[in-house]
Amino acid sequence: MAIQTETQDSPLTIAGKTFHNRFLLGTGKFRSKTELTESITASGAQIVTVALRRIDLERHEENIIEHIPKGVTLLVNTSGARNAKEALRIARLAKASGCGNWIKIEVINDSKYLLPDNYGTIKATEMLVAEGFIVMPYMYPDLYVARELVKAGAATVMPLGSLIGSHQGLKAKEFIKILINEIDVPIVVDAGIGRPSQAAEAMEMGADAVLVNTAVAAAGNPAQIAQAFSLATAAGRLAYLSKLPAIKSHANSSSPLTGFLFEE
Amino acid sequence: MNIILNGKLREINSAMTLRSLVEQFSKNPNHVIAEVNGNIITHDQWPSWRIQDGDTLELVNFVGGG
Repeated sequence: MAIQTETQDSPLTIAGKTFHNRFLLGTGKFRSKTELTESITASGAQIVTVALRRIDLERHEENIIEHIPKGVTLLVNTSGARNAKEALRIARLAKASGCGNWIKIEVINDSKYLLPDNYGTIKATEMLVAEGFIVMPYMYPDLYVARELVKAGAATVMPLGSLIGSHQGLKAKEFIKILINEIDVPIVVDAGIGRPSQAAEAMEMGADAVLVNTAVAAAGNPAQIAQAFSLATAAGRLAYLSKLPAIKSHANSSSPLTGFLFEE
Repeated sequence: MNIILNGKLREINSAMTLRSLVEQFSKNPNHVIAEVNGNIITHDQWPSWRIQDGDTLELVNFVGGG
């Protein structure tokens, strides 16, 4: 059955560029490059993240860029950076590749929880924006930090849903909601989203986009789940735009409470 | 002569250019980004860029990441 998906929704705009798909895909951990390409295509993702690493001197590895369909915006993450200076170095290298200047800042010091260092992230955002990068910082959802990121010129704010790769969903839901209400740049929920229902939940509450990686790459059928995530993201967006009625603590009949057959 | 390439000490031919070094290690030199002693060296400089004894080189490229 075909589903009518035309809506009056305005596109997602980041740094003046418009996107009609609000599902962003990470490219890490895929079992094969074919599964990666199929997942990008099946989801219709228009922004994908990549990382920068030393080339493997012993093995001639294929380059990931060749497996990303043309026209997809590359968002290079600064994974591996432990401070703002290292993030800047990675960003400069990425820019030198000629693959654009969109950077997802990741400044992480903790290897157990992989929590972003919000203060290093603010510093990195200031430094990268000053050099003309389009900056999308990954952060722990804290209102004051989000405000500082916006002040520093961040194009979006990317709060974590829960720990990276944990599939725990929106553990930080109430704090992400505060960012959605108070922050004027797009809110992209990143990390921890493990089920399409969680992506829908983030979008229903008003997030502008979601980013998923591990849950797609590690699935038995990555292309199929990528499509499911994309549909769930769109469904959540539709629900948000529909202005859902509030949750109530007691029943509220959907059928009329008058004219019963058994009334005397 | 000796250089530090991607964090490891290596002995290389002394007459080597950056271009020939990258070609030796990468199937896709166009996608490689090179940093010599902390400075990014753009592709157009590679053919004439002579590697010096004691140089520290980083050759990086894009991989999958979230």
